[in-house]
Order: sequence, then C-alpha cells, then structure tokens
Amino acid sequence: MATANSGSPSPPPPSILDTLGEEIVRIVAPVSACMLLVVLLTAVLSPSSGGPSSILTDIVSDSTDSSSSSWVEQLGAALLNSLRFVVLITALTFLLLLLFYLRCTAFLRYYMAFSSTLVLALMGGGLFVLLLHRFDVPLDCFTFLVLLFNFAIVGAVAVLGAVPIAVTQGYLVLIGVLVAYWFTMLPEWTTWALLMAMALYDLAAVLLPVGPLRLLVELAISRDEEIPALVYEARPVVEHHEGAPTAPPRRRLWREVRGSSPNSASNLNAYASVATESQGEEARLVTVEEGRAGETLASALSVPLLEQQLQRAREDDDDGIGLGTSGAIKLGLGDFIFYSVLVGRAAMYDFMTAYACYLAIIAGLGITLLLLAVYRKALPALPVSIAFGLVFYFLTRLLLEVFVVQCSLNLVMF
Amino acid sequence: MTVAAGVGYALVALGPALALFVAVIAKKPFLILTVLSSTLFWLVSLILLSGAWKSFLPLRSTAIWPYAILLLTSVGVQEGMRILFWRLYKRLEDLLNAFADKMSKPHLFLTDKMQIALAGGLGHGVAHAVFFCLSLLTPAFGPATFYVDRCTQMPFFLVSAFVALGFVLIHTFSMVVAFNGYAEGHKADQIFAPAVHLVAAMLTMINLTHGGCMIGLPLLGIAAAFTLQYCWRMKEFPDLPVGHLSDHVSTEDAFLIHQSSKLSGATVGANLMKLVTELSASFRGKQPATPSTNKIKGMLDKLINAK
Repeated sequence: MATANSGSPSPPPPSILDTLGEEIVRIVAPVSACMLLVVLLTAVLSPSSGGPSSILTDIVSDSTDSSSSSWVEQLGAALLNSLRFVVLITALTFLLLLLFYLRCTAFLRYYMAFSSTLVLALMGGGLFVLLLHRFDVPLDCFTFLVLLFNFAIVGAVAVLGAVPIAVTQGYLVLIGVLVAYWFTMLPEWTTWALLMAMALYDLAAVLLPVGPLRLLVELAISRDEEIPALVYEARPVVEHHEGAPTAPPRRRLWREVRGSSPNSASNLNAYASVATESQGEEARLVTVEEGRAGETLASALSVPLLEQQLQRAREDDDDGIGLGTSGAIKLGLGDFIFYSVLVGRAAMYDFMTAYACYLAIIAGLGITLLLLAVYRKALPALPVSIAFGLVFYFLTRLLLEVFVVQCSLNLVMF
Repeated sequence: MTVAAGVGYALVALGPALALFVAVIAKKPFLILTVLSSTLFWLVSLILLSGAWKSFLPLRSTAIWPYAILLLTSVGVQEGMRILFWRLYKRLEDLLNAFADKMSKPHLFLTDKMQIALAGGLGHGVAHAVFFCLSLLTPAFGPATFYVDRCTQMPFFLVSAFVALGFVLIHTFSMVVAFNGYAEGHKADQIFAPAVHLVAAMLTMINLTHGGCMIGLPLLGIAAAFTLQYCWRMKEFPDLPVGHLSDHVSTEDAFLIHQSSKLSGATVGANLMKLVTELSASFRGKQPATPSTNKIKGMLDKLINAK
C-alpha cells in the first residue's frame, strides 16, 4: 500500500521494478530510434514521391532486370552479389586484424574519424539535398555548405570522443541512419540475400576459432586494449566522461567487424571495383565517386555485444574490453545499420511488415542480450535478430496481410 | 486526406495508449519491456490465426456466419494466449521476487503487479491498433480518402480508428481484471475478460450490415466504458497482500491500515482515493492526523529507514 500514495511528498520505497531492465531499454531505445528514422526517410523519399535514382541499384543490379529475368536468375544474381560482399568483408577484416596486430591503432583511430566525416559529409549531404528538394526548402548552397561542413567536423570530433557522450551517441545513430538509408537502395532480392549472408558471416566470424572477429577480440583482450571501432555504448547520458583524457574509449576500428556487421564501406568499394570491370567508362566515373563514399563507410563497423565485467575494474581504462565499472553494453554500429536496413526494406513493402520486423528484431536483440548476460563473452548480435526478422517478414507478407485486410475492409475486428 | 488527417487518425486510435505510456510506463524500463513482449505475443497469435485461416480466405462477403466462426476462433486463440501470458508472468513473478530478495528490496507490491498487468494489456491493445488501423493508414496521408460500401457515413480510416480506440481500452483494462482474477481465483473476473472480448468482437459484426457502423461503433464504445467501469470498481479482495509489509510492521498495524481505508462495500478505486487524499491532506497539515494516517506515516518511516 505504501506505493499507492502518489500524492504524498515522501517517496515510496523503491521496488525492483524501478530499475530492472534499464540497460536493455538503453540499448533498445537508440536501435528503435535508428529504425524509426530510416522508416520515415524511406517513406518520405520513396521513389513514387520523387526519390533518389538509386545509384547503388544501378551499380549492383548488374543486368538483372526484375521484369525480364525469371526468379531463378534473380536469386542467382542476388546470391552472387552477397557472396562478393561477404568475401570482401572477410578480406578487409583480416586486413584490419593485421593492422591491429602491427599496432597501427593511432592510424586506425584517425582513419575512423576521417571516414565518419566523409560519411556525414557525402552521404549526409546527399540525403539533405534530397530532403531539401522534396520539401522545397529555400536554402542557398553557401549556407548549406557551411552547415554541412560544421556538421561533419563535429561528427569527427564526436567519434574521437572529446564531447559529452550524448553527442557521440547521437552522431553514431545518425551515421547508422545514413548508411542504412543508402543501403535500402539496393535491389530487393540482393538485400534479403545480403542480410542472410551477413548473419551467417557474423555467426562464423565471432564463434569459429579462425574467425577474424574472434581473433581480434582475443588479441585486444590479451593486450588489454580496446578495439578501435565504431561502437555504440549504452552508458547513461548524465555520466561525466572521465575516460576522455585517458586512452579514448572510442577508438575506431576501420575495417573490422567485431562480431556484428562487417565494413559496409569496403563492400561498396568492392562493388565499385567489380562494377568497373564489367561496365563501361561512365560507370567508372560513377563508381569512383561511390568508391570514395565507400571509403567513408569503412568506419561503419561494428563490434559484437560486450558487457563490461565488473570484477576487473581499473581507473585508467574504464572502457576496455571486459573491463570497466560502468557496466555498459556495447553494440556495434553495423548492427544498427543492418537492423535498420531490414526494417527499412520491410517498410518499403508495407507498414505492417515493418512493425512485425521491428518486433522480431527487438525480440532477437533481447534474446541476444540475455545470452550475453549468461555467457559473458563477445557474441554476434546479427544472427538471431536477422533470422527472426526474416521469418516474421515472410510470414507477415504471405499470411497476415491477407487476413488483416480481409477483416479490416469488412470492419470486423477483434 | 492529408498528413494532418493521417496523424489525426493515428492519434484517435493511439492517443489514450500514448498517454498511458508516457504517464505510467515510460518511467519503468521493465514495463516498457513488458509492453514489447506482449505486443510480440499478440502478433504471434495473429500469425497463427492467419496461417490457420489461409486456405479459407477470401471469404464471400454476403454471408455472415463465416465471419462469426472467424471471430470465435480468433477470440479463442487470443484468450488462450492470455492464459499463456499469465502462466509466464507467474513464473516471472517468482524470479523477480527471488531477485528482489538478492537485492534486499521488497517483493513486488500490488501496484507493481497491477502495473505489469496494465503494461501487458496495453501491449495487446497497441498491437491491435497498429495491425488493424495504423498499417492500413498509409493512403490516408495522401490526397484522397476511402469509404467502404457498407459504411458511407464515415471514412474507412475513421471507423477503423474508433474501433481500434475501443479495443485498446478493452484490451488494456480487461488484462488488469483478468490478472487479478487469476491471482485471486475470482471466477467472475476470470470470465470477464474473454466475455468482453467476445462481445466486442461480435459487436463489430454489426458493421457487416449496410449502415451498421453507426450502430456498431457506439455499442463498442459502451463496451469499452463498461470495461473501464468494471476495472475501477473491482472488489477489493479480503486478503490484501500486505504480507511483505509484515516484515517491518506488526500485523495489527497492517490490519489497521486495511481497516482504516475500507469503506463499506469498498472498491479498489475508492479505497485508493480515500487513502491518497487522507495521506496527502495530513502531510500538508491541512487536516488533523487521524490515528490511521499516523500509523501509516509511522509505517512509511519504518519502511524507508529499514533499508
């Protein structure tokens, strides 16, 4: 009864319900925000309302015209694309592992900042131009350039970790949104095949003994360093960043995907190089530009979920792998990106599928976090969520939609 | 019709749910997770239903009885899901109480349990609103609107928004009633939730007749109001679970608290209101402290200092 007196000035005795599940909600909230933004962007900028001409589709589609080829050919092309993607990611991950082994961490960190600047400037700039065009906002190009320049540079500083953590978290979510939005431009079959391939790759790379991500994690733990990577850290926003003057907690890994998704930038790079071989001269121009944008994506890496272990707390390194007193859960940015790609692609079909996939991904994320609490080592965050998301997408699209539309249009609901 | 109309329809369907979310649920992370998981349960039950009915759809639109069977099976599956949800919740409650013991915090209070039930019901209601109303709302953001043949008085989107509003209220509060019924073994409460669900679903069948939506919607509103009324007036059960308090206070104090707040023929709502107003008045010094409020204040101090 003590909790019933909400009108009294003395606070009710705290029940466990007040704080239980707080860390999970602190991860679920930014993931949901990222997905929501991507869904809104795809809805607002959909091709029917004068959206972008999907450069990625031109590069990647590789002569598979959806109306002229049979579904077997489409499936084959999609699988081939995703295979190229995964091979490239693996190669680049091993390159990253090599660089990390040779202790080029300063180079990696600065490259991370540089590439996130490029992502924010180029991809962000492209997106903002599309938005300005869509909403007929009167803005001259000089002001736009100044604003964009500031936006990108502050993003670099945020990624290097010299700002309050709220700003860093916001910028990481923004980078995720930008990359995911451009990824939804991929043709449909390729997107689904790519998601499946990435989930399988993630599973292999983190759990197999020869997996590059696992080797990277073990190397980092043995050296007691942090992997330089774009990682979202779910610390509370009000915490002061005592870790800033010391070895920055957010070093960026430039091509490594720790457990979650691989370097999507390098993927674009690969696409660029592959496409230039097969296409002609003007394709080269397009792909060169895309290649540069691809470089920036190099920073969009992810790290597997890590939970700080409380027993090895040290003051000088409060954010290393397996260390730290903050108990914060870390989720790699590639996870954000691929979750949002899945939901964005589902939203391009219908909102019902988008919502079903959202629930499935959150359920998968919850299960992964539970497993993390049980096993206490780096785990891949992609497979469970992507598997649930894909299953729910196809079930909803095939079964649920007919049912719900049938009921609703007859105004018979339960 | 425009973005404004689309947003308006969405808010008609989800306005109270949003208010409940911000006021009660957003403060406690565990309740947010409860809402998400109960939404997922509802979605799974809906997918099962649609899988079972796949071969029979689309139904002929002239006959009534296929819809009746559809509704019966749907409501049946969802009520079964509610019982499953309750079983899971019971196991979770034991886990939570064990966890609370480890953290040396009190066991779950009654209001905590009610909040969890509220969050579960809200998850069901929000899932209904999203899948039956919001997912079909995309054309409403464009320049046109849509009328169903059988209901020419209101746009289709508005009808579905009102139905979703009714069902949000019904699902949310019948879950509270149902959980209380399962916890205390009151048959009336246990039967209430499936009964109201079935009645409400049958009421939407009135919409199948021409012009029926003008009758069906107000009736659905009456059903929602009845659910709210029933939940507010739920009879206070004789053994108020002050067992957790008895670690810190004597049983006479606990009994006194129970008695002091009890009116004749007391209900949950009335008792809470009386207790709240008495306590707040006495804390503000506007009302001489009665023995019961002194006892309660003493208990609160004991509880707070007992940490």
